[in-house]
Amino acid sequence: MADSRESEADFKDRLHAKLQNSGELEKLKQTLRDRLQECGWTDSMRKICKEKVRASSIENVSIDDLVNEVTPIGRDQVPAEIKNEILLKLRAFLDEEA
Amino acid sequence: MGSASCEHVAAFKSLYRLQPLHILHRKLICPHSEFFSREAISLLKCMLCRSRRGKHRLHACLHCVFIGCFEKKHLHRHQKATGHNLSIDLTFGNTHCASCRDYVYDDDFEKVRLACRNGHRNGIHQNLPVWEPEKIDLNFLGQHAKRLTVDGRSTLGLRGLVNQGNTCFMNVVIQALTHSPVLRDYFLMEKHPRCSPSEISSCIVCEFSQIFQEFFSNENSNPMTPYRLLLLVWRNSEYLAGYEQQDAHEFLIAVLDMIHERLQPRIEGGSIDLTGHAERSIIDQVFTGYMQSNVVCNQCGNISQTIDPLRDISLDIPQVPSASLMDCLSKFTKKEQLGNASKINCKKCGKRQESSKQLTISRLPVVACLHLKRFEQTATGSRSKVATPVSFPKTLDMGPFMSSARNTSLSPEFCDSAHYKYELFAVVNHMGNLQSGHYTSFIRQTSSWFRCDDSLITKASIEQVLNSEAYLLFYHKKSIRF
Repeated sequence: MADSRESEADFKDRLHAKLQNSGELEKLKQTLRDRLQECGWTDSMRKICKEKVRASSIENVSIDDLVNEVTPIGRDQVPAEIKNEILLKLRAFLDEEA
Repeated sequence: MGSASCEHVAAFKSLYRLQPLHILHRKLICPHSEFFSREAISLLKCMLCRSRRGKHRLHACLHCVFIGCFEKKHLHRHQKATGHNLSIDLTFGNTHCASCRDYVYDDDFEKVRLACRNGHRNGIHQNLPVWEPEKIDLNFLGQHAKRLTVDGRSTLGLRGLVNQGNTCFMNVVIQALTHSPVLRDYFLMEKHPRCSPSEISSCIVCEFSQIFQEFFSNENSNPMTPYRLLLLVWRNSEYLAGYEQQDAHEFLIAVLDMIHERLQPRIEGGSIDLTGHAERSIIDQVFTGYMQSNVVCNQCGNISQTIDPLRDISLDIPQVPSASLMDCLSKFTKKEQLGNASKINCKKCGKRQESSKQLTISRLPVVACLHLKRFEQTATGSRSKVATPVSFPKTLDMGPFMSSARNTSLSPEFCDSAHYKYELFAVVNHMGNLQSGHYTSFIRQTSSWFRCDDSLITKASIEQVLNSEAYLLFYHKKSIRF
């Protein structure tokens, strides 16, 4: 059991390194940024953060708190379409690299 | 000390100046060349857990050579051991102060960050530089406190148009154009410098600028009368003059042509500069797409290909019970046998042969105007209206009609289906028949639809729009790449 969990983490690191070195990671990140901006996710996130800061006060909110609170909301709000697009591109990359 | 800075940054600056910060930005955060970029990649990992992941929020210590992640607290471990309190977030370049337990923004540090970031963008990623407001902008905004907010109840961008006597054909075209993306930006950004007083009365572009101002500069509930535009078009295109009902599609094409011609660069004496160095006019940038016509010889298979510019697509309406826009487009791009009576001269065979012809779209415009041919001359020479209802979608996928759909040798980037998705933003409807008819339109602003009947603007639902009998359909590209 422990072995298979370790190798998944290792695999993720290896994949990440390959993506980064080939420049594909930056391309995927840019595609993701564009899509999230186009569908209004970025603006929605900005609004949510502003509201959270306004709810308490700027003195009381720290970056860490904000990150911890908003990250799960952000992940949840990503449209399935966009997730699929990125997954397909990752799969295509893996097929090529194999 | 900067306005949002802290004493710890001030202390650091007095000891070390800005050099350490500069190095970190140039080497790790915004490397200016491919070479430094690769070097940076190898360094960008947490020195304690080797993680490279963005979500672990890597930070570089400002006091020494250390990179640690925020999430697993490896940065904190280093800071506790050494007393080093300042670090830079490697994703965005912001400065973190452990003593203040927050990000701090020092004026000098910000200057370094922005300078390096803008240089980085121009070098590697070829993106446009980010605009930052200058003192003059901030002063102006401070002095002029009034803000126009566009919310659900705002009427900004909505304006009725008075019917000057059967001029509804013009009014619907004005509604569609004032709500066309990219074209609207061009006019609101005042990209066309205003002509001199002697020229302005004959400049259709200045006239449209004025119309855009009337629509978007304030919330005016009185309808406006575009009499100057009417006169301009009459003077230019006599066939459109007079108080009879005209064809909205013909008017649209005439107006687009006039604007395009007016924007052609002129040399001394007023004649058009034909050296061809000019940039594409805004009309070409927004409305012009390219159509590919393939004529294939049935005998030898030789393909004769021509590519022509097109500002709109005129579609025949197939006489089937529930015709859809997709049916019309499929018919338009179908391979057709030209038949025995229309043999084409084949270069390869050296003589006239029976051939087939197929039209496909080789390049899509930003705004696609689809014209349903409802006013056609019949075989007997009389004109009548084809009132067949044609259903049309809110989102249109042009993928199946592209030349590249049949060409598998193109790189995957061009086959990215996101490029072919279009969103409906305006519909022109015609009611009645040729003798007595009336034009109205639907336009969309962000996600709200409105019905425009000359001077009367009312809120509409998407269902009303999709159930209407369309004559002209305006779609805009969903995503635009620069």
